[in-house]
Amino acid sequence: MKRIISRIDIKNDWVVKGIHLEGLRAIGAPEQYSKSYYADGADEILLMDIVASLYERNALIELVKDIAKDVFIPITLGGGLRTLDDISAALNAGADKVTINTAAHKRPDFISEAANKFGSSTIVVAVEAIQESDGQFYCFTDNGREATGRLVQDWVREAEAKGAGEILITSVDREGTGKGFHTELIRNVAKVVRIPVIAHGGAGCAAHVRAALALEEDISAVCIASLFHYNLVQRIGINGPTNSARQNISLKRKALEDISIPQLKAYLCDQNIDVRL
Amino acid sequence: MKLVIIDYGVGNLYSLTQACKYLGYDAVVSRDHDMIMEADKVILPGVGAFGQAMDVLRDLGVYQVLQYRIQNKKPILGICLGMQLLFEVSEEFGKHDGINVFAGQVKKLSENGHRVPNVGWYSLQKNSLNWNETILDGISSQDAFYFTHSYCALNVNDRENLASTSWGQDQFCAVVSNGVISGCQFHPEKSGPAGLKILENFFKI
Repeated sequence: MKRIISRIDIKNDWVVKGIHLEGLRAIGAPEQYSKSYYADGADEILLMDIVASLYERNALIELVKDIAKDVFIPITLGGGLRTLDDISAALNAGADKVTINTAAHKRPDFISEAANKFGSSTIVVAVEAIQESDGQFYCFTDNGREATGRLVQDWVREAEAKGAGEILITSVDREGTGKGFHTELIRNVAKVVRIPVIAHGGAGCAAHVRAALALEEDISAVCIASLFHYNLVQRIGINGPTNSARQNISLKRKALEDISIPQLKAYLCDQNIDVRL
Repeated sequence: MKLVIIDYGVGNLYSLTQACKYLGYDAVVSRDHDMIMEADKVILPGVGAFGQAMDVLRDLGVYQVLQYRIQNKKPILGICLGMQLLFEVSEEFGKHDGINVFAGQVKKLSENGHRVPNVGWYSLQKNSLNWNETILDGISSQDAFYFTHSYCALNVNDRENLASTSWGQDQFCAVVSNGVISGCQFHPEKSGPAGLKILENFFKI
């Protein structure tokens, strides 16, 4: 079965959403989003700490513990995890997996150390990709702001060799736009590794998701944020800190299909894509 | 009902404890020999390497306590690596003996065009055994469960191989049971309502 993963980006205790990983708007409470998506049938929840500062670390750990009390699907935590202790704290709070990006670029052996201590399947290497003028895909960190100079195809191979359990590949170019996954990017990644690949960035409608999961290169899962947030806000009127969540999300209306997780899964099933119903 | 989750340093114990709590059971996380021996039900969790896990169980003396429970027909549920440990032997990073409750060996999943580690949701296939009054009571062939592993149990006794999962042209053992001791390759605490049903069955049998 292909997995549908809900991604929830968090800044200062609120769920946020933006385009190209910046220009963030607060749209609701993470616990409420997590529980709603679990009830809707999401296969996993990915919580990304956008601020990723040590100052906010305890709040995030408490949030994971709270979510783990009612949400019984795999929870992945990412954003600013720099040390084995950081990973340990996340796992002890109820996370099943963690994503790492910056820390791995700074010192690739960190991937091996984490995989050896916690098991490969616990460690997801998150790759933020931007296509440069030479047509190649390069790795970035810090929500697409800091260049690493590394080519995506080389980096994912290295990450796999070091013991990563999965690759989460984000197209920074497509993220938040609703224009569809960056097919060339995800095919390039899926072709060169044998570990599971999770595609993220750009899903705007059910057809985009079908197209990604139907690729012969074998994409294991899709990770979706905006598409589901738009639908959830329409349905249950989530509040943000400024009480204007509906307003915050209205700009997306033209780009995004109004579709819930169960509706997406029913559509995929209809299109002969095997998913958990 | 006294429920103990064995603490030997591996596994997402918090989620498992929360799942039990959600179902109305207060699980104690412990490595204390007396608590494990006297518990009505014991869960053996696990993530990571087989050999290392067996070493830790022996060093802590928990291995011997588990043997006591097995000999005295006191229920144990093994989850993921915890399930694998119940078999004869594993080939993970060399050859390691298991707790040897069940016939069968733990081997690496064959690649054959599949991605490993195997991460994802699969439904369960009935073999020749009825699921009534087992930990799979009330589970349907439509229910899916969350797996994350690179090794699997093979050559399991027909009378103990409660459910299988397809893997390409092959299959591996998803649920093993002799009625008292059981094991799930998947994570019931991470498999939504269907997974919680399996935990509930274990507590009630």
